Amino acid sequence: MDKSKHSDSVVIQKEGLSMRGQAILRQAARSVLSSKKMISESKFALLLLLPTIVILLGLLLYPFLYSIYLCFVDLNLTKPWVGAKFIGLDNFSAVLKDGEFWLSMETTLYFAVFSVAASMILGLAAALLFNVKFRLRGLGRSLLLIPWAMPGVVNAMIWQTMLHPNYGLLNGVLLKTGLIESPVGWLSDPKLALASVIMAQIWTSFPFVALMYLAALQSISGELIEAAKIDGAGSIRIFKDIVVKLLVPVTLVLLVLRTIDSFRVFDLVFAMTKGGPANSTQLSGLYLYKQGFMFSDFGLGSAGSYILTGFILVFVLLYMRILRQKDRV
Amino acid sequence: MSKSVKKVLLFIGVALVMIFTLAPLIWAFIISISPGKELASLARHWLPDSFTLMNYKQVLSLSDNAASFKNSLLNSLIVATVTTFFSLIFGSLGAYAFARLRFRMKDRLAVIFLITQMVPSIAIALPMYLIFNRIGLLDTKSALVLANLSFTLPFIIWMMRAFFESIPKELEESAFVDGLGRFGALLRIILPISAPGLFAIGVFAYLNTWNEFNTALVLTGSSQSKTMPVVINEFLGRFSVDYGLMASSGIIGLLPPVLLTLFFQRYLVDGMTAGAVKG
Repeated sequence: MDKSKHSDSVVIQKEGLSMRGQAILRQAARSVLSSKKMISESKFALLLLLPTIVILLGLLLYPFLYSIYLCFVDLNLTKPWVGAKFIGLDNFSAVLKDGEFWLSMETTLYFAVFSVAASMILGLAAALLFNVKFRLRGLGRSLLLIPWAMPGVVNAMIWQTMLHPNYGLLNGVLLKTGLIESPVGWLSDPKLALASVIMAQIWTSFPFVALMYLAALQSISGELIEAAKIDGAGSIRIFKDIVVKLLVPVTLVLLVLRTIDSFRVFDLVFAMTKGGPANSTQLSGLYLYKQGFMFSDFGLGSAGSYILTGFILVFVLLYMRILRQKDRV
Repeated sequence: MSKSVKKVLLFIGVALVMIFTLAPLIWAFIISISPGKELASLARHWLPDSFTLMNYKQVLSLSDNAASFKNSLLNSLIVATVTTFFSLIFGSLGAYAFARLRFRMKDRLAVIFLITQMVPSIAIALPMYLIFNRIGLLDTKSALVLANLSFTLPFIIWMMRAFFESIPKELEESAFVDGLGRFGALLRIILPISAPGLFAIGVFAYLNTWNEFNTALVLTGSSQSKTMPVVINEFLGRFSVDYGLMASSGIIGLLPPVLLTLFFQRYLVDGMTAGAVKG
């Protein structure tokens, strides 16, 4: 009995209520709310949010504050009897003076710039292709999701098999076509290792870009393009003026997300190269992990991770500025 | 450009994208089903003369004190399922409060949730380790569930809030008139019609938890809690000579997230793109 009543109201909703109907309904609801002893809004909100607040306060906010505290003390877990000593900004200056930190930042910058740029370009290209109707398009689009959905560790494993000097498909193809004469050690040559890791990162990150761009392209209405055609705009003009302009907001979102992600990458390099050979793939995430969990210098690790966060913020703000200015022109 | 030239270019473009996407996967699969003695010549022939499931059998039966792959799969399954279950319940309740109810500190609370999302995971890892150490939950699946809940909840609340806000208010109002209380309206009207959104977000939570590595690496120590990515990472070191075993473990490890993604892809793509394209 109850059920039919509710489905009635759903039907009313679907057909759309007149303004007057809505007002009457609201009033009725309000009077019911006040007449029946219903739980108050703020109490109900607290009740609903309680589990989340407990978990987040305990497991995120407390660790967050603790990690800020760690930045300013000298804490050595291997010598607990020494205790934590307040040392001011020494951790920050130690990180900033460490050549290995700057090397890792430089490596991360290369990694971020090339992997973000390539995944954006490849993603946009794939989206433009998949925006055209063709047979098996749906299947192709589904398959694109696979690299995106898998764990970073498995991604590392898959590219290790691709790039292996003897068992790898890449060397196999290159040898067969005669492009190289002897097997290349993609992950053992310091000059090639970073490029190889970037390749694996592009592989796993371009599908997300492609799907976001595809959704944006499909939200561009056909009418708009028809109207432009009637006004005599050529297809290049249409692409430049309409499509590109409408893609600017998505591009901003994607750039921000992809940049943050690529600055924070850890599992891929940790599993694929452990930072080697000769620190050539040691990204900042790996450097910080090493400082904290291998050398037990948690103060240094925490201070460094906030310096890294600062760098990420600079990038994000820079994007926003550039793209907003472009939008205004 | 004539139509047929365009068609050929389209075909070439799509083929290149698909080859780049699928070749590494197919190659890992081929290696996983090839007998060990054929690996050396595989790169030139692309297909083995005979195939074998030995690697799969071996990797699944593998068990020593350090890591049992079967156990790690089970651990991942339990952790991801339980995390998804609770994060959907807590997350949708919290999101509803943000979407519909007026209460003090609402904006401040939303900002705090947002800040928790920006904290670098490496900075968080040690304090988390210390907390779980103190309450005696180190190296347990419960610790992983709690940690993952704290990662997925802010994100779920953020996504579900937008979803709830798109549901017309009159629905609840007519439910109140029909005599349902606040909780009844949420449970019997709002949540059922939000099912597609819940699916998409649930899949996200599941994928994130299944793939999570940093925290699992720090919080786990034995096969009673080590998750699949942690064990595969160990394999990468230990089996660097046995590529067949390594590849088969990877193929098994990617099956659950990939099948889930393909199965729910319609919801997933909608959910993934809704925020960014509209916003």
